[in-house]
Amino acid sequence: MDLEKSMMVSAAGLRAQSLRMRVIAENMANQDSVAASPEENPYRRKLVTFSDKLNNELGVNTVGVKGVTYDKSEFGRRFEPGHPAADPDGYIRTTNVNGLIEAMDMRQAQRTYQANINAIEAAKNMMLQTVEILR
Amino acid sequence: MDAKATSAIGAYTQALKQAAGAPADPGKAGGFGDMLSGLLDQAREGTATAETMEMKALTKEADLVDVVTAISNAEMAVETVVAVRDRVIQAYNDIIKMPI
Repeated sequence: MDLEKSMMVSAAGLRAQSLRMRVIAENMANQDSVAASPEENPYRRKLVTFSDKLNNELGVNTVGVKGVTYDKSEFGRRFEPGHPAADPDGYIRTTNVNGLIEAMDMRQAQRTYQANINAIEAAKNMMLQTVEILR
Repeated sequence: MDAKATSAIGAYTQALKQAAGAPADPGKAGGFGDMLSGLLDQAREGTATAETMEMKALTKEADLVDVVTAISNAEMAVETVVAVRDRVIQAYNDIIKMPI
């Protein structure tokens, strides 16, 4: 039945969003992770990309995580001459994680998760109401 | 009127046959019992999957989403079986109470 399929599609959405949430948590947790020496790179922000792929079991397209990639933007610079990772000029490279962007990303993941839950609830109610006809 | 009564009996035997999951045999004794056990089997299968998922979730093998979908599928199966059973029993009662 298509309503059951729609529930499974929404469940795939929930799974995808929870992985996205995990990556956001990793980014937020590593906001201040810097290298231990001038040669090493600090923590690089991770990004999640989604794609829809055919689920053979259901025969419909469900959302899945295409992959976790790295944000290739520039690292930040901070003047901190006493740091072990400081270069000859006294600067250390900081992560390219922006707390505000992560917060917005998290809010979006939250909202999408909620939307998927609402879709599951709606599909379930439609099925139950159909059974109710018999009573 | 006659045609309606026979078609009602026909529909009832059809429901019995489908619910029991057995080949059609309208005159067969015990068809009603077969139907009930068939329905119960269907409900049991639905809940068994949900239970396995719950166990898997407890041992961290399955995630919460799997448990939720399995339980709501089981719930749907049980609801449907219960509704069909009530309907068939109602039909049975209607026929039993028919003044002859």
